[in-house]
Amino acid sequence: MSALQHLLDLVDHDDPFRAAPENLLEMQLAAAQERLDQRRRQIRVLDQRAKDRGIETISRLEDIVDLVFSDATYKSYPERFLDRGQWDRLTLWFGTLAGDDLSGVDLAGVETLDDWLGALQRQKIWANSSSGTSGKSSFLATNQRDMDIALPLMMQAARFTSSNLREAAPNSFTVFVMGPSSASYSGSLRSKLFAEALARPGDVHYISDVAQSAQDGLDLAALNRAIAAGTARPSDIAAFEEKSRAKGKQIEADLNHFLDRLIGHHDKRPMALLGLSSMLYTVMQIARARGIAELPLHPASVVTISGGRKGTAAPDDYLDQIRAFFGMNDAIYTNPYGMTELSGACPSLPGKPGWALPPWVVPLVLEATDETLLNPAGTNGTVTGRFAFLDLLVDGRWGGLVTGDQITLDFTPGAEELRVPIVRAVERYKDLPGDDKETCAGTIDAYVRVALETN
Amino acid sequence: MLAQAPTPDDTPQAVLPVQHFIKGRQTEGTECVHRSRDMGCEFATPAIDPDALVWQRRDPLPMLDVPLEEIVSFLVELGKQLNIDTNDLLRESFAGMCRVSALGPRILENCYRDMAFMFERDVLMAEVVGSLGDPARLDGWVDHSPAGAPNRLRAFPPRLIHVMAGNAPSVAALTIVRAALSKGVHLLKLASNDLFTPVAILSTMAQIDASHPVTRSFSAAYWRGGDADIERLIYQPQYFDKLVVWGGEGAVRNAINYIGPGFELISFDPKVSISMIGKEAIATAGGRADTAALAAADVMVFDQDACSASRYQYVEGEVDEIDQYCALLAQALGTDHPLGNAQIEPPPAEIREEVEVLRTLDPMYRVFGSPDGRGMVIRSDEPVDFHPDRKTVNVVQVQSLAEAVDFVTVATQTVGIYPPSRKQALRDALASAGAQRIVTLGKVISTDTFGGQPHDAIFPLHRMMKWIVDECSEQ
Repeated sequence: MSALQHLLDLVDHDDPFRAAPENLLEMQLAAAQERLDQRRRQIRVLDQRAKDRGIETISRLEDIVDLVFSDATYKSYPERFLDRGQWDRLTLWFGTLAGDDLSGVDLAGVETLDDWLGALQRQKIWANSSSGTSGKSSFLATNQRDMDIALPLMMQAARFTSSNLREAAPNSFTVFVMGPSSASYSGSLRSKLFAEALARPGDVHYISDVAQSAQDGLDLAALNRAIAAGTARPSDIAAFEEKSRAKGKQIEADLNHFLDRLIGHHDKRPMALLGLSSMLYTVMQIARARGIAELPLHPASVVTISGGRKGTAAPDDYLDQIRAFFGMNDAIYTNPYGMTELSGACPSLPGKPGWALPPWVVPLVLEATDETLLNPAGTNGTVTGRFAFLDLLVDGRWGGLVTGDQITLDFTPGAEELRVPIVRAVERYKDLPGDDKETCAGTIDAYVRVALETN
Repeated sequence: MLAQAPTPDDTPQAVLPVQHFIKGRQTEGTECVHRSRDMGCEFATPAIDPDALVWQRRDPLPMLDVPLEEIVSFLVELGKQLNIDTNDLLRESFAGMCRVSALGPRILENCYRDMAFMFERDVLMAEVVGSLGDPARLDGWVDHSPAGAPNRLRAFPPRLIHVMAGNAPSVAALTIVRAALSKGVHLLKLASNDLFTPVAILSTMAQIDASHPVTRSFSAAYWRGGDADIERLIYQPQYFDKLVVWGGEGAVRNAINYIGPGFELISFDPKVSISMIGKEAIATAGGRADTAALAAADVMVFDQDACSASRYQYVEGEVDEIDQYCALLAQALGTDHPLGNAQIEPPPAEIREEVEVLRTLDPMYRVFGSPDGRGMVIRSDEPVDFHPDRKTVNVVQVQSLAEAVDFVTVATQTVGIYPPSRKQALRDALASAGAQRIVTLGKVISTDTFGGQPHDAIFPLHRMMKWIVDECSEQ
């Protein structure tokens, strides 16, 4: 069996973190070679990169470092394609980074980003998206195979951490999802799959049943560009602010309604509570403002929250506060570390800080500002640096990526009695202190008021 | 070249000592250790005594009653001493700069050799007259009766903090010249990428005459930009009238936090510069080569790390001609210029990756050169979304230069036009859209830049002064 297949088969394993091969690094390098050979035939940008860097064979981790993309790659389309509805050009661009052939995508009648994402889905391609502070969205291709393993991965990660989930019968929970019931991006579809696999039939409660529009998500960036170009009128800015205010009020109403339902259900029967930790913190704050001191969940519940503070003003101990408020003991609570760009997530260690890195993720810890690999020379030691990885599972695109996260990774064999590296700490670089170099060269971004970055 | 030009990697581990200059006296000390961001060099400065950095308003301004003529003569003498072949202070400064500036020894040396022109008498007087009008306004109260009633006016010396930029050492000379002409008191906050040039010039002043009022009117010190423990103590209207900031968006935004009644901001904002090239300039092979050489000079200014360095070029013509021009431009970017290096640090990963993808979208986008630090040109029919930097140029095909005016914004500083005959039809529209300076292609750097000329749409010396009026009925 190929090294790649061996690692891919671990997706179906109950505990890939203990079942990982002893010679994990060696297997990963061999599997990386297999993936590279496949993908460079499909993805021109990867093939070009490999040629430019002279990488034909992967014999060491440094060879993979040369081949990782960053967020910039997945944001490299010109935004005017979106402004002007040049969907053919956007598809052409998306196709240069997708593993699958997109020539069959039918763009007839496509007028909005949601239409475009729908057209891709009819071709069994789902775009995942994440947006940075600039408001420009990245688009990452995922295909049917990626979607097929999405649920097993989520289930596996949550079961690793939560003993309640391991002991629960299928479809036995009342599920609360801090998100909408439908949206154009694949992230919402994934959480819906997870929710429905956990829930008693029909017993899923979403924050909102209004479909989340991807086109709406472009408004801010489009307005910022219009302001920069000097073509926006004051009333355009006012209209956007009004829309944002209305959206803010709607979210507040949705959260209150969500809380009402949560109050009605929280301890009646086993609950599954899923979504962003920052949003759950907001729900808790609303509950506190109503004079509610705690809202303990049924003891057989399971909680999967993630995503960090997402730029909110939540205090350092916000997770402890959430755990105390909802009575989340170690059997209930899971807090995986993941990101849009990873096929699965790193499950949190039960009852202690840290996360287990899945064996199909080849970790590369880099210097913050260059491509120097910091991974320990042997397989032993703990290093801190920029997190990059090759996700061997990803099928719809190349899985090599460098992130904006600073990670502390413990490679000690047998750490936490697992056969995979342990993530000890994570921080976002943009939350860490910046630089102090002065130059008069600038960009128009400095002239667009930050006030518009709300919501 | 300097005979003993030190190389940037000379003893790279040693912590580099940085001196301060406090009211006419050079001060030494290594109490505070920092790291420079450009070159990652560790350096140590004296501890900051906030009391020493301010001038109390009750204390007399050293230059107030010194005639302009004496100040100009002092600056002319200073200019003569600013010769890197003979001035040890400048040579030491140059050695330090090689450790903290990415420009490299050749360009740093050229900058050091160029800066003396700002100290010539004609240029100094042109700066005063061009900015303030009658030079007598600096020396005393001058009759001023714009609406008939007899008033008296004085350009009164200001108390200023200058937050320096380090991307070009000439900023140091420019700042010191203007500051001295204002007759005020001046605290220069050093940039981590030029920790040496201001102190070297000021120390040369002290060598000429340490007790001279001009010398005593200056301080220069480094603290980390945005260090509130220092800035909140001294950024006060009781000590200083205005904060002069060479942006950096971070520097400008940080400065704004302290601005309030009585404490004003003069900001040289972060800027983008562009070129506009008419179809007649690239219609022939010779024309394309000449135009590419001029255009490259404007890109390469301080290795493109300057507000005046061109990043986008809007070019008329057929795509084949434009592509031929782009190839020549990419080539021209790979040769040494007086203020730009043939080989620099390659563009950051974000640019490399975006270009990597755009390259696959040929012919919609076409890439000339590669992201290897020798220069790269991306031809497109719309401006790229990323910020072209480290010798990266986006050549945008346009139907007409008039259409290109749509791409000029409030962030645009210099527009280089070629051929210059096209300027007249464009300049009002350019200024209206936000552009501040119009030059012939290839002339972004010229000695005309200083000496009574506006910068960023203001006369800086005029803005620095406190314009005080005496409306009493008596003389």
